[in-house]
Parts: sequence; structure tokens; C-alpha cells
Amino acid sequence: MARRYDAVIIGGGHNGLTCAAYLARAGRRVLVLERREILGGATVTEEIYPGFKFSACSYVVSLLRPWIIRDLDLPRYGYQVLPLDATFTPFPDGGYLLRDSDPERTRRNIARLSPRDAEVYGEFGRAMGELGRLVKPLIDLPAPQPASLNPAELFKLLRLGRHFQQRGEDWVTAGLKMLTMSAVDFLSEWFESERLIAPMAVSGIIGTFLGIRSPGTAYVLLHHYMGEIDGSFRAWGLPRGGTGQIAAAIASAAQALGAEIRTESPVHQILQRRGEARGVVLEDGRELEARVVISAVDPHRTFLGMVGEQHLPEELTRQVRRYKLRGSSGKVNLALAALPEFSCLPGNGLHLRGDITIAPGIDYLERAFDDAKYGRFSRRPFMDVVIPSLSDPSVAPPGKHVMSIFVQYAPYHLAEGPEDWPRQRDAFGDAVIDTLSEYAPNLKELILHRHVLTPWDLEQTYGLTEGNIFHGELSLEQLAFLRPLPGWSRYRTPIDRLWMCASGTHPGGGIMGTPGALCAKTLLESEAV
Amino acid sequence: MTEVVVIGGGHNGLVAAAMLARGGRNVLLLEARDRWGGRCAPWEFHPGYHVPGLLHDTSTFDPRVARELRLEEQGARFCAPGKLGITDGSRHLVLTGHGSGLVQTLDAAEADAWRAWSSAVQLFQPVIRQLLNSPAPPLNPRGGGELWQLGLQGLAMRRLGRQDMLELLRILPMSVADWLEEFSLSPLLAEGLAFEAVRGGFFGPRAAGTAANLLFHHCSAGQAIAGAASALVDALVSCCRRNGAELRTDARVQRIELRNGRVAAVALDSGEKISTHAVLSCGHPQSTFLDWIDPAELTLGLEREIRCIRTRGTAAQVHLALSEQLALPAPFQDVEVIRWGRGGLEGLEQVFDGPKYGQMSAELHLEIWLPSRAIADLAPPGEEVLSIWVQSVPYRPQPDWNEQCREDVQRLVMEKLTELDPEVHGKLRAARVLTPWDLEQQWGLVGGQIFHVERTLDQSLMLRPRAALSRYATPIAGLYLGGSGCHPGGGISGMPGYLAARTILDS
Repeated sequence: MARRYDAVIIGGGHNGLTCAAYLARAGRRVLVLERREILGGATVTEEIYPGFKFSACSYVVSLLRPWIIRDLDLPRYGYQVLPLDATFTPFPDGGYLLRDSDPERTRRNIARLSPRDAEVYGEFGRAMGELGRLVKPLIDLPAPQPASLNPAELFKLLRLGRHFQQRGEDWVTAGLKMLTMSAVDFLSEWFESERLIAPMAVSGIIGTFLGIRSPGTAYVLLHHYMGEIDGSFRAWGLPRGGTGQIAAAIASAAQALGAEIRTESPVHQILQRRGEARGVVLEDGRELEARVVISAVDPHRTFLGMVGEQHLPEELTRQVRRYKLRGSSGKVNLALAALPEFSCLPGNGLHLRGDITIAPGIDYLERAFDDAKYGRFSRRPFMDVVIPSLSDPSVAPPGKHVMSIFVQYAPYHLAEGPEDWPRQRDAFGDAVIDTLSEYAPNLKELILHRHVLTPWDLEQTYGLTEGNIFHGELSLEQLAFLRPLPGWSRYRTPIDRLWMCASGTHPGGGIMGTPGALCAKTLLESEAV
Repeated sequence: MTEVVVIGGGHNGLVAAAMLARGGRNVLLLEARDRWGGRCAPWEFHPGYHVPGLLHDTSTFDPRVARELRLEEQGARFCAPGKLGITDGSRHLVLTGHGSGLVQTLDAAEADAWRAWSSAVQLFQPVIRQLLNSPAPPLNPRGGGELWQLGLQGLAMRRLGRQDMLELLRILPMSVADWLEEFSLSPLLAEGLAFEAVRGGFFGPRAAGTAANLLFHHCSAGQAIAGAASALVDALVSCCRRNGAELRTDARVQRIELRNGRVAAVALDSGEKISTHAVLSCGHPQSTFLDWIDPAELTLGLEREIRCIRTRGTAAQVHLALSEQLALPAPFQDVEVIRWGRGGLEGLEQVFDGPKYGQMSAELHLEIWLPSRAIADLAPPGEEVLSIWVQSVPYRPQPDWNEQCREDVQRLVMEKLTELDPEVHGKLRAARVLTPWDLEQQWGLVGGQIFHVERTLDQSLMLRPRAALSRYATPIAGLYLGGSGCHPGGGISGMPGYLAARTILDS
């Protein structure tokens, strides 16, 4: 045992790296251990086919907190975001809806569906922005602790209450409704056109095992509205060089601050002595000691995999087992010889440079979910498509393109069992391509390579248990002071000196960096290191 | 002049009128139909055959209300609730008291799982009861009284202790399926219990927030009323009379008239006008604001809020007159009600897949009440009436569609009953099917929603029916709400009417 670290972090995803950077910045000796040969976890750019660089898993960014970007000076290390400023929704009957950063043009486009909705659209955006600002303290600070009797915590809780109350009762109500309603019900209080509601509602189901009519999806909608790029709320963007570039930038920042990072160092076990985490055992048998161990993998893998059930109190095992992951999405990455042509809007205009959302109706999306409920992938799925090579030519050979297709639903738990996914992978890929080809008929002949990621693959390759891209569902009973386990929402775990810092902790999933940063801050305040 | 006009002679309206009269107010209670009780009104659906009401479960009627109104003196008698049978056609379970105890199980492991779940519910009962027996927690407490209430409710939560308080907060937003699955109950038992959470709702057991419905029901269930809902209504009517309330049936409200933004009078369909300064509407919140009040009196914001209340019904009712008793399997000989599902939570989820698309589900879930076995005179001696709750049937306002739907529902129900009793076709004397649309047409239940307002998290507690209306007083001076669409809502509890009356008496 050569060197003793202040902290060893399991997992080199963006949260693990962020946590490392903050700890290193405070002068702590930190080591990050990544299982794969490449950093980033699900925030990764991979050259799967020569010349084609894919943001294999996560593909757009918005939620990465501005203060983290500033603190770690990420632009200096190559972090740059290209705006993704249109949402294009084609419909099977040849119609389409294009919303972009020009409010007047968007208003006119929506007015073709419903003049009333066009009027309300701007107001809705402002209200969501306001709600986003309202809940900001919830996503930028550790979760409040309503069950704590500590006066400091009670004071924080009261202050949070005041924060909401000062905005007025209507906002408190809006917040409560947001937490409990379904995306469709919530949006239907504003809009009447199904062709607007459906593509807007899909933000509420991304990464969840819920349908757009399921209560609780309005919150996920808000979660995706809280993003900020350069101070503008709700903006989404493509990181130059793919999402892996974000991880690379954070890693460089962490290394510049003195953190040590090792790839191809899979952790076998968390070393425990007398109920305390003392370090880790690598798969090659080497042991590394540290004052604290920080897990940046999901709660299941942490407790049931690396700590081991035999070292856990029975109650904790029960709580970890009931923590819901059940992944519901897959990814299809395509290398294309040229740009696809949508029959409803030919050419390669603005509509290809943003999000292409295949969400033509409420019932369409609900039926896609019905498939998943009963253990089948959606025959006609919801898809969120981007073509990053249009904005960032560095990710594909000249004249060629990469297309990233996020697909829902692809339930981890197939009726035949998750291990049946390898057998169904091609059929799943076909369903995706067939559906998309209905809108862009020339797509099939352009495909040079096709790379299909099922939830099973997300688990096997990227270590996401049950293929859940958020390390656990973003349902109310698994958020804030209940994430990941009731009473253990402050990055600590019931095992002394074992901490958690990834998407399975407050405030949850997406490329935010907040769990990593808040874990580091809490850890430093606790003086455990 | 009448001090308070109460609109709607359902059980909440009756409770409210009795409370107000007891409190010394000059009260007039108006009911549009020709009889008292609303959803609890007895109904002769075929000559000589009666059902005691659309709602059957009286075990949630609050004993405090009964005590305060001295309903026992008016003839109401409390008794142990009847037994509940759960089946998928092949296996049979029996529970006591609408699910508060287990009588007959499949095996010992199931009994253990049941006990674990049951004690989890027991743990939260005091807190939940307090929550359901007082006005919803104020969103923005003003004044000492509201702060005091919030403090008491906070304290009750805290008294649970840290672990249990977190557990309660975890359960409330969960789906009932996820919650029950944590207890390894048998699929049949889980489905039977979960039905209570999705009853009449526009959601399946996988919808977030449905765990709260089940928890609230089990925490408020207690003794039932002998003679079912109709006996309760009789006692409430005589209690109203005894306390001096004026009661009028066949009095349909046409308008609530305002003067300078205040309630001034109630105009009836008959042309009669009743002057008053206070109206307590136990009718549907949407009828109250959108039908009875001049739209010019509503702010745009309030009107929009009220239009957004979701009231989609998903249950039909089938009433059958049988010339002989339905033959039941041995375990079900003495049950009061039978839940007949598909043997698991997935089956119950499938039951909801139709209404989402405006269709009747291919698979139905039945709740079969056998009221004439406990109550005499509902049917001729030796004969039987069945009152069957059929889920899921959507609300659609097209007469042709409903006509077809009634036929389909009756056929499906009879097919299912044949599995229980092969002779049932020969016993059938008459059948009446009520679709959600019929419930709207005949009972005034907007959207056919049996609980007035859908029971979802965002329409419960301080958001029921909407934040601005959640504490019985409304933005219109002198107008109060007190029906099932208000906190704590639901079935036969009497609480919304009681709490609304208390609000008026305190003001």
C-alpha cells in the first residue's frame, strides 16, 4: 500500500470528476478510479466507427450548473457549447411544427395549430422560467431535511419556506402542482393543441418509466426546463466534440488542481474495517487506502455490488432493493453518408440543426408507454434525434454525418427478462429506423453504420444498473431528502466514511455536476477529510 | 331571511345543514332531485327492486360527525363492516371490514405479508386521521388560527419520529403498485387492495399518488352503518328536521345571484327567488361556478382554474334484479361485497388502458355488492339485487355510444357472473346500466366522476379542488363549497360538509 489518499472516488463519470476537482481545489489528495479505458461514464464521446465520433449515451447539455463551469474554469479546458435552438416535430400527415429561438416565427408556427396556444406560448415560457428560478435553491443546495431536529436545518427549512412564500401563494401552488401532476394534465391547463402538447410533454418522460399521462411527469418536465446556458434558461446545447468533451474538460481541470485519475482500474470491492470504509480493492487485487471512499456509481452497484449485502444492515438492504431504477430508454447512433430528407420539410434548414422530436400525438406516446408497461419495447417509439455533425463538423468525416437517436421506451425488464435484450437488439434497432423512415424516407439508404444501445447494453458497458440513465428514477419518492434513501440524502451513507456523489443523489440525473460538487462541499464542511 | 342556503341534499349537504341548524342558523337545504341522499339515495331501478345508493361503503363515515349530530338518536346504528371477498375466478380471499383484517388467506406467507402491510398503515393512522378530519393545511397561513393548525399538523408528523415521518413522506407520492409490491403480498391480494386506490379514477395502479388514496381510505375506515347509505340518509334527514332546518326536494337551482360581488339570493328553476347572504354549495365545484354564477362575476384566473378541474369518470354501475340469490362459492357465503379482478396488479393496470383512448377496456374489474342479503325489502323475499361497480368505462357524451356501451357492459357483466353462477341468465329479471355519462345526466356528477373531482395528488388536500377553494370559503364573499370535491373528499365521510359548516359557523 504505497500512498494514502484523502479520498478515492469510484467512477470517472462527470460527477465523480467534478467531485474530484472540488476536493483537489481544496488541497485534498484525490484519486479517481475509472473502470473503462475512457473517462466520462455516460458523458462520453466514442469513435465507434473510424472518423465518426458519437456522444454514445448522453447527447445534449443544459443542466451543467453555471457556477461549476466558473469554479472549475471549464472553458479554459475546452468546454464549449453550441446552441441547439430549434425543435422540429414532423407529423405523419405531412404537417410539422418548428419552434426555434426566434419568438415571432415560433408564434406564427404555433398559430397555425391554434391561435390561442400561440398567444399563451410566450407566457408559458416565462412562467416556467420563473418556476425554474423558484426551485433553483433546491437544485443548487443540498436537499432540505424536514425530519431533522437540528436547529440549523430547521432554520434552513424555514428560510426555504420564506423563499417560496415571498413569491406568493400562486407560485407555491404552481410548484406543488408541478410536483404532482402529469405532463399532459399540466400542459393541458395551458394549451389546447395536441400537436403542441405532445412534443412539449416528452421532456416529462425522458429517462423515466412513466407515460406522459402518469402523475409526476410534470416535475421531470420542469427538471428539463431548469437548464441554463450562458444565463438563458431552458436552453439546450451540443458540447463541441461531443459530451465526452465535458468530462475531458472537468478531468483536465481536476488534474490541473492536483487530482490523480486512473483509467482501466475497475474497483472490485469497498474495503471495510469495523463498519468503516477504509479504501478499495481493485479487480487486480491491489488495495488502495483512503480516509474516505466516494462512490460515483449508482446506489445499487455501490451497496449491493461493492459493499456487499453481507456487510449491510438488513433494513438498508431492503431500502436499497426497493430503490427503483428500471431503465426505460435506449439509444441508436447512426453514421450517415449524407443528411436525411424529411418529406414534410425538405432541405437541410434550421429544422435539422436542433432537436427532431418524434412525438406526433398524446395517444401515440401513451401507446408507446403501454408497450413498455407490459415488457415490450415500443413498436412506434418516442424519439429525440439530433445531428451534432451539422453544428460541429469535427465529429464526422467531411460531408458525412452522425445522428444520435434517443429512444423511449425500451424497458430493461422485458417480458422475457432483461437477458433477452441481445436477441431483441436488432429488432429494436429496426423499429427505430422504420419509424423514423416514415418521416425521412431516404434515411435507410444513407446509413453507413448503426450502433444500437439497449438498456441491457447501458448496464453492461456503462455500468448503469438496469440501464437507468439517471441512476434511479426521478419520481417524487426518490427525490430531494429521499434520494437515494430516506435520511441519507446528504451524500453520506449509513457506512462511515463512505460517501456518494453521482446522479443517484440529490438533485439527480442529467449532466448537472451538482451532486459531485455538493458532495465535495458537504464533505469538506464535515471535516471528514 | 334565510341565513344559509345549502345546495345539494347528498350526505354532505345533509351533514352541513344539520350542523348549521344545530349551530342556531336559519338553514334551507335544496335538493334538485325528488329524494334525499344524492349518491346515497335509495333507488328503485326496477319495480319492486331497490339499491340503497350508488355508494355502498359507509365505513368511512366519520364517527365524530355522527356523535356531534347525535345520529344514534335518529336511528343510525353502527356495526362491524361486512366482509370483502377477493377473487380472480379461481382463487378466493376473504377480508373483514373492507380490508381491515384477513379472514381467509391462501397461505401463511401471505398472512405475514398482510400483517406487515397492515401494521405499516396502522402506524400512520393517527396522523392521517388528523389530516383528514381538519381543513387542509393552509398554503399561506394567515393569522393565529391557521398558524396554530399548521403547527399542530406539523407536530403530529414529528411525533411519528424521524424514520416514520420520512417513510410517510416517501409513501404519499408513490404508486399503489410500487407500494404494495414492497410487501410481497400475493398478486390476488395486492390487486384486491389496490382497487380501492384506483376506484373511479382516470389512472391505473402504476400512477404516482395512488398509494395515498389507499392509505387515506384504510386510515379513515372504521365502523359501518347498519342499513347502508340509505339508513344514514334517513338519520341525517330527521336530524336536520329536528334541528329546525327547512328541507326542500325538487328544487333545482338556476342561479346564485350576486350583488356587489356578494351572494344575495338563490334563484330556482321554478322562478322562485330566495334571499340569503350565504350559500354553501355541496354540488360540483364546476356546476357551482360555471353554471350557477354569472360568468361576468368570475375573474379570468378563477374561471380558468375551475375549468381545469379534472373530473373524468371511469366507472359504470350495473344494477341487476335476480329472481333467486346468486350462487356463490363456499368462501363467499357471508360476504357483503366481492372484488373480481384479473389476479394481479398488471391485470388491474390493463383495466385502465381503454379509457385513456376513450374506449371501454376489453378487461373489466367488477365490484359486486350484495345489499339485499343484509337489508330487507330491497327485493321481494327470496330474490336478490346486485349493485355492480364496473371499471373501466370512459365518459363520452354521445348518446349512441352510451347506448352501445350499456349493452356491452351488461353482456360482459353477465358473462362474468356466469362463471360464478352458471344459472344466472335464467335468474335475471331486469338490468339497469349507468355509464359515466348517465351518472352525469341523472345524478349531476360532472364527467361521471363519482367523487366529484378526480382523486389525484394535485387535486387533494390543499389543492382540492383548487388551491383558491381548498378551505371551503371561496373568492366570492358569502359563497362556500362543501361537497365531495372539497378536502377530504371521497366517498361517504360527511367530512367536507362538516368542515364547511364549521367554517361558516366560525366566521
